[in-house]
Amino acid sequence: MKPDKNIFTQTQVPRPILILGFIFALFYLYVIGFWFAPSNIILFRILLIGQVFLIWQICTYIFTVWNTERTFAKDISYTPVVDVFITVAGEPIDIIEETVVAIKNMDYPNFAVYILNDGFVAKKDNWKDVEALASRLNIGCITRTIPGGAKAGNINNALRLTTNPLVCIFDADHVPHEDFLKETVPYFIDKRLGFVQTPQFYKNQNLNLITRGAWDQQELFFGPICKGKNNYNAATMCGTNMVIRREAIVEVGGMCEESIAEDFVTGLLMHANNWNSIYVPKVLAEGLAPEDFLSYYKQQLRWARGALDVIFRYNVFFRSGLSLSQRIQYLASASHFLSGIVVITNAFFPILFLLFGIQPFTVTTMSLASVFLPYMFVVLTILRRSSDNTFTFRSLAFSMGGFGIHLSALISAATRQKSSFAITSKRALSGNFWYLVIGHIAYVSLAVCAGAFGIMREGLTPAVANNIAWAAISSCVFIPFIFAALPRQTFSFATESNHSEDNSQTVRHLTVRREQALRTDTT
Amino acid sequence: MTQFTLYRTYFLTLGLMTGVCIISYFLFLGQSIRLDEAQTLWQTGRYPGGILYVVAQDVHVPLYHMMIYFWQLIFGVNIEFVRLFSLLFFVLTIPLVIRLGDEVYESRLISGTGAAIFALSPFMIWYGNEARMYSLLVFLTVLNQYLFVRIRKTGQTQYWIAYGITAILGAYTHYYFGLVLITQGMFYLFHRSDFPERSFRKFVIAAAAVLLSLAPWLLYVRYLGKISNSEPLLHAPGLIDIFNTYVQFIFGIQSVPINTFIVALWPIVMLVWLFAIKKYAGSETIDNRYLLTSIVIPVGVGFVVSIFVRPIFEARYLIFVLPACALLLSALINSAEGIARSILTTILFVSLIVSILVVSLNPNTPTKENYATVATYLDTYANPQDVIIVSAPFTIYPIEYYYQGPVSISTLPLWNQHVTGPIPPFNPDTFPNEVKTVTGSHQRAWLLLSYDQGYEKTIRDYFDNHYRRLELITISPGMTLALYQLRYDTADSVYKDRAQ
Repeated sequence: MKPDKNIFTQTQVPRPILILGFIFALFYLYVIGFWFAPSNIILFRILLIGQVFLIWQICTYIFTVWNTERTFAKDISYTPVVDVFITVAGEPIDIIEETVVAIKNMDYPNFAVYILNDGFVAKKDNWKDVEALASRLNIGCITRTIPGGAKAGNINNALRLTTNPLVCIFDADHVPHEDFLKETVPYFIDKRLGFVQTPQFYKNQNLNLITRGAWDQQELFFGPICKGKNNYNAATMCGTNMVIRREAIVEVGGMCEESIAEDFVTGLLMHANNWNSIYVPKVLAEGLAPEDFLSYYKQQLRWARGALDVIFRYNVFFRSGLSLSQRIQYLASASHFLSGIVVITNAFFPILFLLFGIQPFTVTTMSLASVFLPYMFVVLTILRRSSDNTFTFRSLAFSMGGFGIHLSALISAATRQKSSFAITSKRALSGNFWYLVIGHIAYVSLAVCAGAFGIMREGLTPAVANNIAWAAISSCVFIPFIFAALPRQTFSFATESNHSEDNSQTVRHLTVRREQALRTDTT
Repeated sequence: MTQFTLYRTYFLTLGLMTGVCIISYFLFLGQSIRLDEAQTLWQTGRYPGGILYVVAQDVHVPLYHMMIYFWQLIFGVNIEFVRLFSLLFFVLTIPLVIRLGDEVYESRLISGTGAAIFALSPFMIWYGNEARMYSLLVFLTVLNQYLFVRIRKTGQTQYWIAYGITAILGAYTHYYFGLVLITQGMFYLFHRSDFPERSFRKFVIAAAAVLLSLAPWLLYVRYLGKISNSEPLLHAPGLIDIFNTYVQFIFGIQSVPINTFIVALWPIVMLVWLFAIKKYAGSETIDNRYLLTSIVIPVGVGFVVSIFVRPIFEARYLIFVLPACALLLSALINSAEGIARSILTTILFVSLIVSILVVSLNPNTPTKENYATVATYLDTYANPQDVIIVSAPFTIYPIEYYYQGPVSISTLPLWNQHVTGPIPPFNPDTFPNEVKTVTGSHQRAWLLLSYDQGYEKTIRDYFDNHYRRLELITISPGMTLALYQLRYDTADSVYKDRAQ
């Protein structure tokens, strides 16, 4: 199926629905907290904390998407010189070449192109090939020899060696459209505009379950969320497909090298220094989603860890220079990655009832349904309408299924463990990654056993049926994530006898498959 | 549409219609007559003028009764044949549901599945086999909804005319048909721009036509001023009743434990809903929104009126919501992809078939009113010296239908159904005298209590405290038969009779 690039158009939800969602969410919390009689007080408090967090997420989402259609002044005659950076650290040459060629073809009067070659410091074999490519295509190549700061360090090194007022940054696999600069630079007539961000579109989104799941999550983020953040001058910097004002980034000390989510934190620092930001909701560059589960997992872990760093290290709520709305936006984005703990906690309530008969509160099942279903209906309606009907079960499953990632990130961020920047692989890695979803498999198995145990203990009572239904929901949400980790999703067509990464036949198959997936976009 | 698809549709429609007939014949047509049905037979067992007269004193409108009058002239007054009239309209509604589904979703899969859900809904099968106006109401509702959608799409005159006619017929079938029209009116006000030009004027004309045509009847009812208290006692609903209503539409009116179990599975609905969320699905088409409105507004209005004005909330009165429910459920399930859709569809239809069997065979199904069993029992054990006392008074109709024995039948409160006027209300002051009147010099009293109107316990307690109870049998949910010894100055007693 051809990826739809005409996206992010209908994201404005009618305000009455948003208000209704807000009211229902608060009413639901009120009922849970004050009307229902607690049964096991510890479980009740844990549940209540989790619900408060979920309501926070919903309310901040409603706050974010309140106005997704803010427009900004621009002047198409404004065409300052732009330095275009392509960050490279060992990516395949053909992928880099495709990006460079597309950049050179951009319709803009004056820009210089540089490959920021980190292959040498990252000890990649092809760093010389990258230099040769730059020479062949007649563009600049800045090869670092002193390591440090990962991608941020690479960019900062290039910033020191170049001078033009605007800097455009692409990852090696993000191929810009001709009109990229024409669509982004004119906004810089605002002298306080620090950066313009555009979406990270995945042209390989239909390749497999992982790419689809990854894109589903991106779609919600780059659709209503990023559009809504525009309203609060709180666009998220994403590290690629963006244009930055040199003055702004120099003022904040370059890209932040201390965080593995250098882009997110750099955006925060620029906002704190009173620089403005704009998100342009148009697909102006096309990149690649992680094609295997391990790459996806690492990417999500890096994002989660980086975002949680904002909470644990950068003190977003009391950092000076940010407006209240910006604080809320950064806190909302960062706290999303705390949801894993709530997901798994909620998933265990029915299990605890089925195994031990303990539950957070005593309430008739229909009383709970009476407040929960209308609230859920409105929330899902808001999600659907704000995402232009792109929000799916899969995006929910990948989001909730990522609880393990969120927990790992939370632990490492809370204990301030050092993390290294891992580049998302541009080629699918082979293998069975079931060990990454062992918690999910354990949960589903436990749910089945607990269901059987609950029936044996109490019979098929309404309470048992209700808790089995809840456990079934959690299990069904985790199952797509489990499937994504199994090898057949990524390599269903490849020879089963050999999954080694350097196997030429497998690589050829993958390349063919990728080309098939991308063929539709050659126009 | 290809020839193959056309044939497949015919087979689907005919298959569903035949299936409904088979299920009805083997499981439902032979069920015991119920109170409402007995009332139908009683009301329609007279000349048209008389029918209008008695129906005007009831809480109904007369179209169904008039049609039944002529139906009985052809087929006779047997309850099974009167039920066939309902079955006929039920079966005729099936292709209409497919047509409505086609108009709304332009998908034969959705419309076909929706029609199958409708046809296999135990609730619909139950009331589609009841000698009441419900299946006619559903038939006219679906036809009217189809025409409403056609009007929105085309605005052609013939649809306007047919719409007006169905609206009038619907209004003469059941007062609750007004909720269908109110829903359409509200929907139109919010989506006026989606309708053809000058449709507002035409809707006003249609509404005026409905009101004008119904006016004579309303004036007649007002003139008589005798709407009786013969309707079942309705209680103010709670939120649970809203859920129960929708659950009953799909899985039928089940016994309390089964219903509680089904309702407890409500999180599964959320799961189905999540499965069904489809990328870029244009599920929010204007007509789909109309169907959604048409299942929410009538139930919502019924609920609100019941809370703030007077209790009118009763699932069977809202049965016209069911076809739209079936289509929406079908659309929801068919929004899921691949194996999820197959699993959901299979689970749903297996559940429907099991529910039909349970409703039909479970003796504790609440809607079962086993007056036939009572009559057989009385035929066997009641003596001519006994008296049969029924309460609520209007339950005398089904008993009289089945019981042909020599024992006299009375009601508490005392009521002569052959005398014009409402049923007298229960009066605790006059009650002892009424008991004295009905018991008279009889040896024993068979007290049949069903359709509690709020005084059933008082009657039961009175008899328990004043007479010796010899037997107590629960016939079906809410229906008990008790035998009391009234006199001790006669030689024979029930035990002697049994011993013989």
